[in-house]
Amino acid sequence: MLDNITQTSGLTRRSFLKTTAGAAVALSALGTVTAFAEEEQGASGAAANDYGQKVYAEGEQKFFQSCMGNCAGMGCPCWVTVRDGKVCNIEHTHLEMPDGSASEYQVGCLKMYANIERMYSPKRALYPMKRTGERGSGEFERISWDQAIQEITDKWKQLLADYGPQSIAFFSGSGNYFTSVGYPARLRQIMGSTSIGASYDWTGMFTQIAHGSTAHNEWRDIPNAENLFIWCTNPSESIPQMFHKLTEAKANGTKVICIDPVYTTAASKADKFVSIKPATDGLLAAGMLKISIRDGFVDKECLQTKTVGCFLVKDDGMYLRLSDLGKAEAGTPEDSVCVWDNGEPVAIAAAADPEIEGYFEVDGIKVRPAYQVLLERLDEWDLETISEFTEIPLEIIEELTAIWNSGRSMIWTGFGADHYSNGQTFYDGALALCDVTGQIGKHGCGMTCTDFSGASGYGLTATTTVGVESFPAGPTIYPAHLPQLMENGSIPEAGFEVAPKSLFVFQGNPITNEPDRLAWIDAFNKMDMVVISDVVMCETALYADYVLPVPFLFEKTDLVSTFSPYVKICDQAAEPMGESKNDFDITCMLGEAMGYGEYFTQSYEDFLASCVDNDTAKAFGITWDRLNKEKAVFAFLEEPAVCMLNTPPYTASGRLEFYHEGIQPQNYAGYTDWDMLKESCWFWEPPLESWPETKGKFEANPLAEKYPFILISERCKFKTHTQWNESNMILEIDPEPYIKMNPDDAAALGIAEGDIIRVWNDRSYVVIKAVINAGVRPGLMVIDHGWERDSYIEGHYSDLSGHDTWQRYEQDNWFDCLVAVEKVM
Amino acid sequence: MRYALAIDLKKCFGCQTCATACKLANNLPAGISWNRVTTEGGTTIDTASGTYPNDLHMQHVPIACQHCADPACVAVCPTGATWQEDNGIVLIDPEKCIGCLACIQACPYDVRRFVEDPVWAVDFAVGYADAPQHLPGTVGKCTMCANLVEKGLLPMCVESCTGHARYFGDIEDPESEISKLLASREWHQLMPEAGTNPCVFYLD
Repeated sequence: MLDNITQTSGLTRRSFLKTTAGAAVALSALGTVTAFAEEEQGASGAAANDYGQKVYAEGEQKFFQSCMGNCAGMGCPCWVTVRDGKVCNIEHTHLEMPDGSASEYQVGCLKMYANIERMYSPKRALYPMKRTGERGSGEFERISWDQAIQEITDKWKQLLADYGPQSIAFFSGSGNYFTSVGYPARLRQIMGSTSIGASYDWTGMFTQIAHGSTAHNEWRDIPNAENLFIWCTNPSESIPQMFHKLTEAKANGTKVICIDPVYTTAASKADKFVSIKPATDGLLAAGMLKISIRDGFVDKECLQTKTVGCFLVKDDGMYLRLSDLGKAEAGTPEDSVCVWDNGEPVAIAAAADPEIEGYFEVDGIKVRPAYQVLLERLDEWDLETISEFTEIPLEIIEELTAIWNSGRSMIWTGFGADHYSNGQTFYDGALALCDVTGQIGKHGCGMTCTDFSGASGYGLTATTTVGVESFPAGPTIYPAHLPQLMENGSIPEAGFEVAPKSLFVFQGNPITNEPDRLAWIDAFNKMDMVVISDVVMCETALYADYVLPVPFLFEKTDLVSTFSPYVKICDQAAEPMGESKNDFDITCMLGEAMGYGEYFTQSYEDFLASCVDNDTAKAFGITWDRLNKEKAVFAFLEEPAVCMLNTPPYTASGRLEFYHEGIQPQNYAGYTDWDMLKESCWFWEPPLESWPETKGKFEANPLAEKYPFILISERCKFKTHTQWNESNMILEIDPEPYIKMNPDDAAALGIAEGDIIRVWNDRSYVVIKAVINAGVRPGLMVIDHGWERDSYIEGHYSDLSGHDTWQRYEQDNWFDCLVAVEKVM
Repeated sequence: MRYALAIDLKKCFGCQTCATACKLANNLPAGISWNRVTTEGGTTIDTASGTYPNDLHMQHVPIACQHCADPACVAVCPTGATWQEDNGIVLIDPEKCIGCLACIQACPYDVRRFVEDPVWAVDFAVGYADAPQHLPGTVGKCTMCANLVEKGLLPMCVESCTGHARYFGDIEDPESEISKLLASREWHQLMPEAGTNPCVFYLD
């Protein structure tokens, strides 16, 4: 054994030039992120002084790499050890923040150490493959790259000639966010192809973005809260890397509340678990808002200065602007939104103490502040009804609100509410609660979101479509309308002239991960040719015509900064297995064969280097050479990011928007019954399917007579969606899928632990093992998300969910799923 | 000197990282786990016991070799294959182990594993180059990563702990972090009635 015999990379500790940019950053909060980054100029980063890079045995080498799925980690850096050309060990890094403290973004989870078994799994796709059997049979023959490229591009050329560019579609999911993985988008852009967009988590993401940010509060800010509301998220499973923020906060005296239909691990760590009826979280937020207003916790200054609360809204839902009063030309920078101040409408900048409540009239135009609109919406509900709907006793709602208003309060949310079609009613309501009570724009106050609110190092910008931007992009269809497009052949009113006849799938496994799996298989069956590039023979690959193998994470050099305050270069540690080629090379080969060779002349290294050659990168001192030397360059804020405090909101108004002026469906142009006024501000209606009981004016879904249970698929720590399904050490801990249910429901159905059950609805069925969990709310059936087809005794849980969506965002609604359950044996 | 582990049960959330990190670092064969994370609650991991919604219980408890001060396994080993180092770590010499299973029967904690005919998920050795050997017909168990500790590194379960819940150190040094924790927190040992005096302390 040799101690520290070599160092394979040259990481050195660099002194960090303390910047005085903090105050300037706060002042520039309404600028762009780029402008903000420039304020940080001089931050030379904190490279690793990392004992993890030491090697301990002769002949070993270590490489800087990253574990990576579309999990909340999205890039937990690690050192991988290579012996005899094979990756044989993985250790997490010890990167330092500029102040010398350990980075919060590097202690991976159980999955980090399971990567070697994925990398060398028999499920790896090693060679280009062509389907020989029935779709889904898994019967393929090995072909050469030349044959694969020739046959795929011959087909595409024929489709382009016969049906035009929209007949070819590209689907990209979120397999991982290494920079090269998205490169097929370059070819898609040039070809003007249709995109089939993944729309998972869109309601949760875009409601937060529409309000202000992806990270109202970065994860690191969690322990700054005095009261922490874990709400619509299951962080022990979906963000294990940051779960210690909960226990750290609690140890420091933070009161932790968990609001969930399921008693999760987070609930077991909380001071208080509040059980809520599924899909009614938006009503609880409204109840807390009503009580806060009743008890005098309205933060008028916050509403006046940080939010759109004082903006005057006309009866048509649009803001009153100076041009409405003949005082500016419409559409010019001078055409300010008006507020009511001192008895008259004035431009925002001219107001001293704008009204937030009341009804006013000017030049015959009736107006009221946006906050008044919110009050009208809240007036449609009384607390007793909210208690009845949420099935939370009123005294508990009162108690929660008292806690909320007792100090700095933060909501730690995720995408639980998102997975019901009425998810927006939660995010809009919860963010309005933050805005009205002034629990926003400060450390420890506001909202942080699992899978969404991590730091992402500035300065890494993929140049995938640079030089081809002038090609007109094709349209984007989402899974909610894909079945209609495939059935009808076109949807002219939404801009789709022709249904895809060929699909190229990269960076994703939609057959398993998207709801309504049978609709996807049907879509595949209606196409002439489906191609997928993937690391493993995932379920979607089994239904494809051609499978193109790509390297595993550690088999290529790549860049990444997602959910890490560092921009990182990950070094190739081993040769690509079999004949796998990375997405960059595959795209170039396809592009050249299509006759677009002039747009694919860049080398891979030049492409990567170009992604860190921009003004923001320069502002953080990032260069290609420095990255190669140091591997990880710190390029973020030292203090936790908080929207409106040290990072700007994304909104056009520069304010937090609980009111959405002129809102339109974001992703689909074909709706004819859009209710813009209703959707402009918080309201509550039940989800489209998972509403099994009549409450108030909302009648039960008649399907519930046959299918009385709601099936939800929760994230589990053992997978990132379908990734890690091929790791033996994971399967030893969690070997098979099962449905968890409440003991009372199980008893009524005559089901015991370990029984085999059938779960079904009109769409399909699954046969699967039953597990009894006292923590599951009666009426719910819970399955871990991500098990692929061959894991089930029969059927598939993804066949049970549908593809209906609310109109505001095209959205995957896995939890809008009513089922019946019976014992099989 | 006596090395020990402390596991903060308020922080442990059952993430299983200690289990997979251990498995990789020690090149454990398929089907063998030296470090398992149990759930006090329902029958299946990560489930609760009790009555919904106000009387529910779930607590994760990782279990590996307890490196007892009075190890029952050492006392029964007929070949001297199991012994205790001066620093308290209980080890097994696979060259001397005859696979008689006496230690497995004597151990109250179900943490020793018999490897009859080891097979691995991949066809080359993983983990550290000096990871323990896994010879056919022998018993293995947690070594407190003695091979890492002697390099000044932490046991892998401590190093990898996602919940920041594990502590390693010398409980005979009153200034060590672990000694201070044990002095300031309530803790318990597993099955004290077994009389083995474990050196894994569970912080309550």
